Amino acid sequence: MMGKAFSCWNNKEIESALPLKYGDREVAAVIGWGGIQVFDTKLDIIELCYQYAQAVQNNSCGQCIPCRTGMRVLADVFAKIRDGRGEERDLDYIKSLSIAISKASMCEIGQSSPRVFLYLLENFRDTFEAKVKGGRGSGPEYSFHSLLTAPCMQACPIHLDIPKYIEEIKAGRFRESLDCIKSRLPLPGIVGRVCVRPCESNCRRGLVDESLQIRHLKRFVADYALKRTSNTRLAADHTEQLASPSSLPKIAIIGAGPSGLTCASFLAKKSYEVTIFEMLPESGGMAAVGIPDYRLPRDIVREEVAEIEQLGVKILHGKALGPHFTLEDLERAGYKAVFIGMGCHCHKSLDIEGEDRGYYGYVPGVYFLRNINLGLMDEVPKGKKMVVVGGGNVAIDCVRTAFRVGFDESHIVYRRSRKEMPADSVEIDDAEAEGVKYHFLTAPRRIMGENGKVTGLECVRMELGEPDASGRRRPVEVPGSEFVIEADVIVAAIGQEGDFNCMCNLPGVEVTKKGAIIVDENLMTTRNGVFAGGDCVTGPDVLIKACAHGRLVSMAIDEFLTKGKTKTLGEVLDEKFLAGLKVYDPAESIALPEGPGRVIVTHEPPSERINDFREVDKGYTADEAVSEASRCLRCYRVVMYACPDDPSNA
Amino acid sequence: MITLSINGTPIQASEGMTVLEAARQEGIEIPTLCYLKALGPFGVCRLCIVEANGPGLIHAILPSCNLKVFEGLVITTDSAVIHEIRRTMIELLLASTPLSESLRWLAIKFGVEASRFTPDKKDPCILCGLCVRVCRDRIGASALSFAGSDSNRHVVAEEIRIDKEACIGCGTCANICPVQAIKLEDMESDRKIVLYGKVASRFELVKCDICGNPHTTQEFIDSVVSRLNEEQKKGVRNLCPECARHYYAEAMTSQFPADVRSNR
Repeated sequence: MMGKAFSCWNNKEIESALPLKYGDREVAAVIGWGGIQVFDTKLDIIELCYQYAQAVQNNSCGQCIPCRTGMRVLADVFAKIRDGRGEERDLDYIKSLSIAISKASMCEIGQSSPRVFLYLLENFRDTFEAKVKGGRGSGPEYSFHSLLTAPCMQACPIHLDIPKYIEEIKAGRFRESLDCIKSRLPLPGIVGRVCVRPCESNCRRGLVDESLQIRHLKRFVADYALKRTSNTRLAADHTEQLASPSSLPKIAIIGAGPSGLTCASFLAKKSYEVTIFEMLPESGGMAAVGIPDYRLPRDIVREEVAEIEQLGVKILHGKALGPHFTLEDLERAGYKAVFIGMGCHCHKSLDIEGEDRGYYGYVPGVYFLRNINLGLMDEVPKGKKMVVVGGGNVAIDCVRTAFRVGFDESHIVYRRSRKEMPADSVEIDDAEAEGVKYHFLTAPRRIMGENGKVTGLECVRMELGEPDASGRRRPVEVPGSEFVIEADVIVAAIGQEGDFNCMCNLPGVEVTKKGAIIVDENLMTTRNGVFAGGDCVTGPDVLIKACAHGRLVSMAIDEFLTKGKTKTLGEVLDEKFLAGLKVYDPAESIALPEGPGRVIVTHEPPSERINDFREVDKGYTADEAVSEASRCLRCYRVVMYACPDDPSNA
Repeated sequence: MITLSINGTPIQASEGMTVLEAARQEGIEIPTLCYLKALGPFGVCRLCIVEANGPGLIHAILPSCNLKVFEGLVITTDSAVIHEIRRTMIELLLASTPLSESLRWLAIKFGVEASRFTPDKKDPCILCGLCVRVCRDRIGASALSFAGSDSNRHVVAEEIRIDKEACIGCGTCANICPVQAIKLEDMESDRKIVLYGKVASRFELVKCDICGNPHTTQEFIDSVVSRLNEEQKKGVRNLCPECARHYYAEAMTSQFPADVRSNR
């Protein structure tokens, strides 16, 4: 038993740490890669160490001897002391084992886990010695729970087991790698192309040289399987899963976008009868109609949707919530739960003069992309010179698409500088390579037109002032700096929002002032049995976040239908708990020499690719994927928390 | 050429070399269990760890088998820290597997008399992966693989498994195994590949065309032949190693005049 509550995490001693909570349970202690925090001094520290060593051993991949056998032996030594059979020399064993494991293990799981034992031996040796002499103490009982994470895994909204699937690629087991991804994400081909990859910005390899190209690796295994899986094989896989005819309740999903498809896939695998209602003639949501084919070919979306349909999911096109049916209709038709995943398909207006004149040639970005993606070329304004307003991915998609639909010149107007652009930096560079002209620190003032047609965009120069709420420096107008960019077509791409008309008229479903649906931690709306996720909850956000919502809702619906109103899902609690522990520390220094840099993926040459919608990135070959995967440091970390045993749970 | 220092001696190594290769070139010994030049680095036995200092590295402990040399690298292969860690690892090896020839040699070398730790595993396999890699990368059969427990998806290496269908009975795995966890048992024309004491696959041996002694499996011959071109295939003979030596020596010397041959 420790004399005092204390805390040391990521090499920092925290004097008066606030007790951590797991959900609403008080945590007695946390032990993990970053150190140890003890809040309840009655907890037996040896028992905690034993449980932790055991948990690390259970998660050891078994490849290298220090971690595989060393952690087992360490757990044995702690068990011996705990059971009152401790000897003086056991403390030396703990020390030499901890040094050997942390210094000689192959990956982070072995390197990071035993450091805490060295810290404890150095700072609390008296306590350990007393335990060796005094033997087993008695105190309240605790329950111990361990979590496995990694910086990339924690950063990923859907928490894909990234080190695992990269390890499989390294070993040449591509099928197994894909299975690992698919256990959490049914759309690897889509996400492997368009994800904004928070994992890569939290990759520890990036602290040594360059982060791994995790997205390209994911795309590689998705494509590899696609090339090698005949439809018969796919069908065979699924008949097995559908062997038992569904007697489970019917579930309605509104919107066949990334969140709806993900949710449907997991529910169908649990044998629920799932129907998706989609307003557009095409499935995929923004992945299909919001992203141009040169980034995400339609075949890929269709293949992945088809795979979900083969699980037994029905998709009804041309059915919009509001105009065609209501939530009450769904209830009457016998749907026991509803998931609203309708996205943000409405555009934000520029709020400048000339916008509402109805000029030919003025078009919001989401509509421009959607019409092209749906093949409605008559709806797309024609011309020679296009100017796009905005700095996000939609703006870049529009400005790059311009060349591909016949424009000679394509410009982008953004009121801050390149550094502040929210678009993916790779996209920004690719667009520049294709000949897009950037006008930074430029804001639109007025849309100019003649005879009902757009003729140009009046702009004003900006300079950067003080940082605003988003942390980016606020642009300020430079007086008298107005100028005109001539244009045939002006595209507004400064953001999207949800369909207010629809969302504000759902009885019982409360909506925020900004037009986002209000949900609880399990993503249930204020109406019982109606869930919501994706952009219509978060506002315009990244695709993987929508998938994560879809997956979470599939679990929440299952809980709701089998157990009624439920407690917060364990997954949600785990995520919150880990977020408080800072899995990725950008200040960490890693004692590794720079290795071979990232394997660069090949691109179609800019001069050729701008003529059509062919995919720009060619993707990895098997050899390239294996050598990129070999750069992974496999930064798994184990953390354990102890809670006093809750008598009501017994 | 790159100049680095190993144990205080400046050493020249060519670019792309690993520290292990540079050290061995200079006759500096670093123990390994999972490294073989023909298979490249694998980095699982962790015995080849060295202390590395230099640009960006301060007292870093890294495996020398996959550490590439670079200018200004200062390596210590036998510091007190390294020695202590290696000793602990040898004890762990001894605690995890029964004593084998190579482990005994290591134990003696590092002065480990007995392990302080209680043993667990009964088979001698140390999961060094030489068999898996030679079968996949050199033989091309991919009959061996690491396998973990089905209950815990994170365990990737718990034991070695053999795919009977893919095995061609060549016995390379048994020859390469440093701890005799895989054995080749030939009894007349019956060949057994014994993994962890159990017969993992079984073959009938083909007989040498000259002496009639059983010597290898038809599957192995087929696998070799499949990699030859048509011209090379013409030269294939079913001969045991001993007869092959005589046969080809004969064939070669017959090219010389009779008086040269008679002098042998």
